[in-house]
Amino acid sequence: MGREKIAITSASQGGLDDLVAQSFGRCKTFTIVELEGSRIVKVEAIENPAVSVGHGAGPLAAQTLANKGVSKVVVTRLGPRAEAALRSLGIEVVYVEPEITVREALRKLGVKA
Amino acid sequence: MHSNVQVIGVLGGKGGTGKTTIALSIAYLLAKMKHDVVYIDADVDNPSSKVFMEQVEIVKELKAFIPSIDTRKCTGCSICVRNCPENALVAPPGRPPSLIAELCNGCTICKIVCPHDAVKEDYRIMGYIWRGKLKDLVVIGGEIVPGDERSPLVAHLLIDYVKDNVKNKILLVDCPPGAGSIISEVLNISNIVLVITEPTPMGIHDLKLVLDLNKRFKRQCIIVVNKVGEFDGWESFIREVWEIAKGLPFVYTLTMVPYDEVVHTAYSSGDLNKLMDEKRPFYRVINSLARLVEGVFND
Amino acid sequence: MVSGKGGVGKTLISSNFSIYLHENGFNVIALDADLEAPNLHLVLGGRVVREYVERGAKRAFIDRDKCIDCLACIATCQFKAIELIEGKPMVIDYLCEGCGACSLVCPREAIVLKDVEPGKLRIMETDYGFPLISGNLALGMRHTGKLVYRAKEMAEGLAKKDGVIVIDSAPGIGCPTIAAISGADLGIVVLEPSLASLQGCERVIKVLEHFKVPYLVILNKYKEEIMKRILDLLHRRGIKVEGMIPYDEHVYRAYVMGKPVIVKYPESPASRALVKLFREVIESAL
Repeated sequence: MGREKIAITSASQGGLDDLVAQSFGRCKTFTIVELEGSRIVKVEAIENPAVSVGHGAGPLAAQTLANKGVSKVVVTRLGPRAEAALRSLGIEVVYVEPEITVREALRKLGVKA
Repeated sequence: MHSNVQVIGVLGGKGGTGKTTIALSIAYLLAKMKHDVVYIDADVDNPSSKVFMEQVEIVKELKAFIPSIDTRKCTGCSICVRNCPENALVAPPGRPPSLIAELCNGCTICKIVCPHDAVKEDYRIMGYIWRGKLKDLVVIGGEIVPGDERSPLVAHLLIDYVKDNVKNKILLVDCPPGAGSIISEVLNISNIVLVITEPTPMGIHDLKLVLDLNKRFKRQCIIVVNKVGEFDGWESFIREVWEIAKGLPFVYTLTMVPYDEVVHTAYSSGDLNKLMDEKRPFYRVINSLARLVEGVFND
Repeated sequence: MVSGKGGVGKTLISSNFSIYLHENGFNVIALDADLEAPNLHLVLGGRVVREYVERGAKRAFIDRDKCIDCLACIATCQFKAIELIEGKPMVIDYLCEGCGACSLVCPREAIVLKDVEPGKLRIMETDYGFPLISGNLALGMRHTGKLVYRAKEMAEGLAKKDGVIVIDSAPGIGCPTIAAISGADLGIVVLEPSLASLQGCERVIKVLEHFKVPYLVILNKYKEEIMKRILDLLHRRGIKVEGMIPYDEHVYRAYVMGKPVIVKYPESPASRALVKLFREVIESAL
């Protein structure tokens, strides 16, 4: 039972009660949860450094997550460049419908949230 | 440009004012008058002159640098990733990077900063230079690959190609709409410019922008108000254009081209014969414009 | 609204659609993404509420005192932005990408990258009760797309949870158009009955499809006499038209008055067609 880090795009301050954001590359925050099995051991919110760049927001956001050791990301949609970057980085992508909270999204993944 | 080459830039700011219609017509007439002229289509996003020709041939592929990583030499240091100004490189920590090719602008910084000589040169095609013929008129243009973001560079390479390969005495360069860097570039190389506008509020608004830009380059302008008479009330717009123009030292003259339904249809359907119907007033006006341009060059 | 070819009616559709949405209770933000030659404020009216001078475009500057004319910068620049003028390397401002490669290879550290102003953005109040984000690219300069992304960011700030952002894109398929298209929920491709426009339409569709943006194609300025021929041609080229706006003098007259046609001439053929189109888009997409 290893540890795993999952990032969820977040619309404002991040955290379990924030809404999942509609964009990946330009979402305000990423909520990163560290899991042991299906149990959350840590919740962290990081600002997305790509929010104000020109092009390349998707890959920059993806690289930021890779540098944090994230292995899976939860999104509502993904542009072609973000998709290519995440694939190259070996980060798994899970899609959820918009307008749900981070907590609800994690529950869909079987996480005890 | 070489000192014995005369460049006529055709620009306008507002899209749809008739730049291509007028530019192509003038070039065609100059060619018919046996001038040594070539038409250059610098609207690399959407080269409209192409629709007048059955086919064109590609004379040059425009290649741009992309990095190719030599994984035997790469140590996974990620220095290239951190230095890429376009975020085009991603790498799992400690591993070799991958390229998001469409974001790569070809700057070569990754190759410059790599401490292990692990970045090799590869290339991708960002656009083309093509060539066609409209009866007696040679047409050379550029075209960007959809999705690539380097329109100004493609237009610049087109102009470079023309400088190196085209020996004709007169170049007529058709621009895209707008007032960006391609317009600056064409203004820079032009001896004289035709500024095409229309008698509408937007036409006038964008005309001012282009004339403003020309204050830097100070090229002699012939302002051409096109599609005059399509709607009533055009006179007040002509007066407005005149007010704008008369204060400027580099406006050579102002001329009007009447709206002609038949000419409009000819342009829309890419029909050169109909466009250059000698019986129509449009032809006479274009003829005068061609002679005016000829006259300016002879001075 | 995108098009490929200029002058086909993007501003007509964006201005009138914004108004229609607003009148039907949507939280609308209009965005003029044609920052080389913005026109949307001419139709919607725009009182400037706040202006932002954008920073963050970069350009190379050569210090003549340190430069030894080795020309390594010219050999390195992939954008042909450094030229030899009277034996000395000079940066051509409207070609410089600001990547910094030249400054990395300069043996005397004679080149620095400085922040320059890509342009200005303005938050404006329209005459109709909703905001318009507009602005100007620095005249004659390269458009990096960054200004459009920044404008979108501002619009999203105003849109909050339920806003609809209507974007009047630049013509063409370059940087600013890509910046407008990226992340959009719907693309409306405006087409006029000309081969040049059709060519542009096909090119912009390639970009929309690449960015996985759903789109629909509208034929503007059509005339009855050529309808059948045009529709046949579009059919053969595999383009499905979802809405049609007739060529209508009222559009021009409304422009002259600086008003949107659905407000000034609501019974005109163009207005009727526009409203029908907007209703359909709202039902299917919103």
